[in-house]
Amino acid sequence: MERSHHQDFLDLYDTYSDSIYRFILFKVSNTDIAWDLTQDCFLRMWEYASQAEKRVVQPKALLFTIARNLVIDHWRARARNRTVFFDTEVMDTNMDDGENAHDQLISLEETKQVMKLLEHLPDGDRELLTLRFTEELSFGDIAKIMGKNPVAVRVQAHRALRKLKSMIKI
Amino acid sequence: MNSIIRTLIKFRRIKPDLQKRDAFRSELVARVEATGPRAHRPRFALFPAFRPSTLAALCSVIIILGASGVSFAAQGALPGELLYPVKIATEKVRVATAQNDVQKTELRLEFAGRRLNEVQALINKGTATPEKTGAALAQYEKTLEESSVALAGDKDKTAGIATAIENATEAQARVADKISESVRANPSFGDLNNQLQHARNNIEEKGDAALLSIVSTASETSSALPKKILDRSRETVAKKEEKVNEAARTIEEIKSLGGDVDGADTKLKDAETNIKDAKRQFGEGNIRASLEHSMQAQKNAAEANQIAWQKGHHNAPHDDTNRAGGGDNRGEK
Repeated sequence: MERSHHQDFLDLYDTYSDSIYRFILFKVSNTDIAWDLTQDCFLRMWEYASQAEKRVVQPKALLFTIARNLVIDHWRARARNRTVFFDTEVMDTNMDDGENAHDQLISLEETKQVMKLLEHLPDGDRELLTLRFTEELSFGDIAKIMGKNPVAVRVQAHRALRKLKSMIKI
Repeated sequence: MNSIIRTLIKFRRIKPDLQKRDAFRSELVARVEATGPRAHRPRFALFPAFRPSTLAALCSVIIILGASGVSFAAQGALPGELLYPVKIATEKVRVATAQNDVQKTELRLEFAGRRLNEVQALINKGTATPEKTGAALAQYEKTLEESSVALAGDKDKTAGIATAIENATEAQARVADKISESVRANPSFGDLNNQLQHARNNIEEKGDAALLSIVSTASETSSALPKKILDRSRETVAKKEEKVNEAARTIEEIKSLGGDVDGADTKLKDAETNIKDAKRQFGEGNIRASLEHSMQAQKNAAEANQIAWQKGHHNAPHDDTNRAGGGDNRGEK
């Protein structure tokens, strides 16, 4: 019995909708815009997959690439560059934290401090670190999404972490 | 350094609004369904498609059905064709082996949609008969009923199930309307027209129930309604108002022909009051109450119509008595 590609596509949504939303949210700092673009991302994915002659071999990388392009188009349409990595006010209402209220507060403060540090990194470094550690993508997948060589991506990640480490020491 | 990586990992807790995520999922279900006949080869090399327990169940299905090739070949079968029972059996197995109620509902809705597509396919091929279309539409309504039963189940899953039903019935209503349009002018499809009308009423009823369920759940949890649901609710109230207006026009017509519409008038007044309340409640943001009033208004309007047709039509002067310049039956109750 064949497995319908309808179900495969829905599995893709179930597995990656949170990741794509987060990825976009970090770039646009607005939950409504992030959700709109997340929906666009999956709609485009469906359009592409339903018309493609060959099967989509790496849907995860394709999804993030589509998401990335949607964000670029979004900022282009607004004719300005993003200046804020992530609005921590947004984070307050979006973090699904199972800890008690006191621990939540401590956790939130630590997170905000790290975010302030990440703010000082170039966009590409921030994107790379969140794809690697938050979304657990392989360097191979990240390379495809960012249009770079996997070795170059690995080196860039290492340098980004070193930059952050040096900021903490200052 | 570890704290930085730990924080990056913690970002995974950031998630979208669950209701929005589920609502969009249902929209995707409707969209992929509306795409039409799907390719049978898998499009996504995602990860192993089956969990061990599902795989075991499917292996037994393949043995039972004789060969995977048989069930594959059955997918395009239409009512009356040899492999059609295999197609239905395959669908039943897929529902039975679904992981949870939401998935079962989604599959049922998908298969219900197939019944409508089969009716269209029979018409296109020129092989539609009242028996075949009747069987497909009866199966459609049965499957729709089964998917709606899940609405009364686990409250945690109700939102997902209701959204799936709401979206699917909206898409299926369009398909049913399209089929109706194509056969309306053809008197040889008289039975099919009646069958479609019956199915259409059922679609509307289930869609309304699902919409009410979504709105009720939101009001119970004090959550804001997504814009899509607000828009849908607004459309629903507007459609019910149109039904009330239609009933008013029909009753006026029967009255002008000299028919007795007493009783129908009263019901129509109830309908008009309810729809007025529905619009007021909507304006005040009481969406659930608005929907309830609008659905009651539609019921009143349907009752008014029925009374008017039974009494007024029956008592209206016939053409031959009109020629005499007045009907003996005019005004009689």
